[in-house]
Amino acid sequence: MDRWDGGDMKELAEWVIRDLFSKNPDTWQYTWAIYLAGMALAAVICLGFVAVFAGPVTWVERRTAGRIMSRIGPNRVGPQGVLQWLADGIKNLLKEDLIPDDADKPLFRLAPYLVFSGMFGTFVVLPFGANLIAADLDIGVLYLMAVTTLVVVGLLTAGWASNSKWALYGGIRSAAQLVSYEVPIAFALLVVVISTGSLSTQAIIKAQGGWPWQWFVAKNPFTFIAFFLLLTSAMAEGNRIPFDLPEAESELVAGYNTEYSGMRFLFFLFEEWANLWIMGAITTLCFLGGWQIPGVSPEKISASSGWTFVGWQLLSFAIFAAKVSWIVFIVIQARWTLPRLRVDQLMSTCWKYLVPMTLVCIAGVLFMDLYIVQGGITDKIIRWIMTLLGAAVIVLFFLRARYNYKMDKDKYPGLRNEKMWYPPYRMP
Amino acid sequence: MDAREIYGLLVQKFPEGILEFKENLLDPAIEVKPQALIDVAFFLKAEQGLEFDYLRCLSGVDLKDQLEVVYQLHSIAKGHDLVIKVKAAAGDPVIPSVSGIWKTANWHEREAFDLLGINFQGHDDLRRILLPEDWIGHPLKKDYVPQPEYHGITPDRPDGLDAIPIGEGGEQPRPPIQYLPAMHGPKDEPEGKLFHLNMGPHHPSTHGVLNFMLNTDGEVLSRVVPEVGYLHRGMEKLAENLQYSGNMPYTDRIDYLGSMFCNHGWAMAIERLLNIEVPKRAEYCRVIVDELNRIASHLIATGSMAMDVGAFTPFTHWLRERETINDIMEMICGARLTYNYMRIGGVSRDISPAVVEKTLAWLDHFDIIMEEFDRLISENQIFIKRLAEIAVISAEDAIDYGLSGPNLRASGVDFDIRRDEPYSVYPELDFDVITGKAWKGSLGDCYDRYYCRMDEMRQSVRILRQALKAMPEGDIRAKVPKTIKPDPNEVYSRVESARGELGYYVVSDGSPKPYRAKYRTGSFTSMSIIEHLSPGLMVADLVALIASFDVVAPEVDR
Amino acid sequence: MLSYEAILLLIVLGIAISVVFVLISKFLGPKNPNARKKSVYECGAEPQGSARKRFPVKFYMIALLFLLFDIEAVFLYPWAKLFRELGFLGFVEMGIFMLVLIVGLIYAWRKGALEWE
Repeated sequence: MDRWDGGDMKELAEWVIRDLFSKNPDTWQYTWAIYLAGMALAAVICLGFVAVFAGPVTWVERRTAGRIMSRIGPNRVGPQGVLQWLADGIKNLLKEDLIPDDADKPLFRLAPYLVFSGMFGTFVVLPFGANLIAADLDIGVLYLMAVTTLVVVGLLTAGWASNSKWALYGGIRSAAQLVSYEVPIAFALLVVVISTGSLSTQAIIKAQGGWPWQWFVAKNPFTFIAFFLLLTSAMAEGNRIPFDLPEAESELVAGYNTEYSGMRFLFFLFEEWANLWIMGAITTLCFLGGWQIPGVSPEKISASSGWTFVGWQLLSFAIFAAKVSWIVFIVIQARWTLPRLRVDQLMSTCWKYLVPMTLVCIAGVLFMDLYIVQGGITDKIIRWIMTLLGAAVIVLFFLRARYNYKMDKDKYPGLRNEKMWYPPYRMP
Repeated sequence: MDAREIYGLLVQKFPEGILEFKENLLDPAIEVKPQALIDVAFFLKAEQGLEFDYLRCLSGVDLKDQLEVVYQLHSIAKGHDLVIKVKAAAGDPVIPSVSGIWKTANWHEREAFDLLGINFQGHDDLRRILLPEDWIGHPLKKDYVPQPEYHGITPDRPDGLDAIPIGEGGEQPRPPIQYLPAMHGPKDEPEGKLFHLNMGPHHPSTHGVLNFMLNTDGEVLSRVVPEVGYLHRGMEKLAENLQYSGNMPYTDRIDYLGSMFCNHGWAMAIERLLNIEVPKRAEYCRVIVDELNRIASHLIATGSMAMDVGAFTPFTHWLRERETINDIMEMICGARLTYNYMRIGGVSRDISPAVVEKTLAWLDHFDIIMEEFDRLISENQIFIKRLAEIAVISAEDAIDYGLSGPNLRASGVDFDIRRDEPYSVYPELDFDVITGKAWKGSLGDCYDRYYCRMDEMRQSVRILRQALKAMPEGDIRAKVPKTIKPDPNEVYSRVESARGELGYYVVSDGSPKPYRAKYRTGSFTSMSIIEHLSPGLMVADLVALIASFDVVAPEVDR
Repeated sequence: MLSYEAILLLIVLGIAISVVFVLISKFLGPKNPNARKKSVYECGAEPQGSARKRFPVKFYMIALLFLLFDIEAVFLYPWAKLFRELGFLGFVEMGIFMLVLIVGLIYAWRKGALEWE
């Protein structure tokens, strides 16, 4: 039996046909069935993953928020409340499905599906591990941008179809916001495409390495800045505070989903939390080396076989998931720390700051790419400096946290017994 | 200048217009003829040396055959007070409106029209304010007959208890509710161009059941009309049917975030009517609970301000601190929200050494927490961008619209009742009056209103430390007759509540129940400026503006 | 091009599953609608006027700007992919193209298209 040498689901299907059925995939009459089965499998895995991610991450977010806000958060359903998301899902399933009389009913029904499929479609090109990807498209990045726009259509449809003013405000705001922030995202991704010379998500990851200095974020100062620009814009695309204007509850009550209830409402929430993964995955694959295992090249993974191969896959997934979780955690933390921008501030942030800055980044990266030889001594020095800079940013963050913590603790004896860290099992 | 001198001046200037000088009242009043009111008012405001720029309170009183309007004036510049009165026949009560002279009068005159049916001539928007449009009758009139039912709601309880005698009032045809365009419609813009939108009564950031009628052009507001009255419980009518001391727990419900101030103001008003000296220890107890309550109230105010601009976390931290205050309050008076702590002539319970100890320990902790608050949100760039330069209120406007408390001081007006018209033991305590300093933007913006409250909490901590240490031994209650029956008189007492001036205008007629009680609240008065400030703001700014006023809906509607 | 069929399949499956969930919810959830429930939410007050009204042109401007820049981005992608092969000449050519658009952005900026009021 021959070894499966990597690739996406399509290649996996071809390998199955070749090796398990000993047929030529180009001529065999049942090829389509295997393909279909493979794709269905991929779709089910993706869907399952989205559900399993989006559900518990709500619990993670609420517990994190609880910790930040010096309260407890959900801790009743299941041990430490880990099953809260299931209870919430079931509750929403049992809710009355209401459609306002004045609503544009077909559009009202359509909107959640648009949002959901827009979100779900992105998972096709998002890699989970070395060979774990539904379809490694040649135009992955472009597809990513195109399909996320479907969410905008969905939100605008929801806002418009509800025929409620608050919903309309939310819909219009989300359209303006998501559409605007699409531009800096496109440009920030362009930086990566220039550096890679490919639009495929797997190729982008493979162009980086496992160690931090091999990541695009450390490639040169412009990619370093582009990483933060992309993260900021991605937060805006995901409607997270400080950019959650479409559903600013203290202004718009609930925004575009004001009139939705039950399951339809759940789809909007679902999209929002699944978006966290998308946000983290895009930034990770573009700038943080994706699933690359330090010291193990993609070729070595492909060359392995049997359980070693499976092990590498799992390890690469774990690394990818860890990086994504880190981004997700930062986004959650930002949400529970920052106030919300105003519409005009949001727009000027995008058009007056992010867009020009990404353009500068593109120019800078072009320049660096033309004049700095990859692997040369200058390249190495720059990469080291950028890595240290990144490390400094992280260290600074922890120092700040420690400073704030120490400052209160030293002054007030009542806080002496408070710990900076709590292990999860000791959480209230 | 005292009232007699001003009377002399006025008689000289308006020999025809001035009727009487009522010197025997606790607050000597000058009665003015309705025809001369506008001229007198204008003179009082504009004349050098008088400069009555601040209308504290405007109350209507039903004298059975006549209706009376009482104006409590104050001069911020000169620091003196004056009461003027106008009377009109009960059959056709027409009194000229002073809303053109003091903007405060706008809403207060609407209230007097609503509750007493006084027709203010020249008022450009004279319609009901607290009661619904289709209400029949004016409840504070002495000959008011309740309606048998209102939209299916009857005052009868099914068990027959508390049945209220019902007259024939309900037989009258109900006036139709006028929604569009009188209240909601555009004032200047052609109809149809703008978006009409109700923000409230059930909206997360209107701080209770308030309604703001928005006319917007997309995100930019062209006019906002606040509609209040959703929480109107007829507190003033209730007070007329309760004995003086029995009204104390009701005053708690005026402002659920600052019940102590409401208690204090009411107790002070009755004590002045009865001429009772309150024991020193009781006064200290009052100041301590007042200042604790002020911190608790400002914590909610600043926390919800942060929450309304999208930052959730500060609010819960603020609430956590407030919880200790609630605990202390519970130790003092057994209640956590509606305290009913004060009594006429003193307080209900003494402050024990355990409370003193706990409070002092908490104050040390709170100093650190205040620093943490500053680090957490006050210096946050987005927070500053959202509040600084938003809804700037000039000092003139603030005085004209009768803003009070932190809202007034944030505009740079150095006026604090605790210092300028001292009551209780405040003169013995050392504290600063915080005024706006244009910390991040210009003077009188939302950020100033926010930070004024933050600094006031620090001052409250100072006051508390002093008061807790200086508290003398002694009685906590003066000798008060069993049934309180003050001689016929009237009094206006005011305290510096967390939301500004809380005034009680009480008229006694010698019976055990007040003849008339009018509550002048900070929230009600400051709400009237919103319509003036709104053009050009964005929807999100309006939210910040409402939050910065620290409006409490029950205090608006009473 | 089988990869694209995968997308179709995934999206179809996604929609199918969400439809199923909505149907389940329809089947399980209570159904007692009344006029109040079915009216739109305007903070508890009677809705005043229609929501289908003129909305400010501001948002339209944003849409136009987006179109311009998003199409620019789409043009840039193929070029970025081939950037290494095109070398310096490609850099200059694209620089001119981008310059035109940057001038456009500056023009929109100066004209006040990015201001809200």
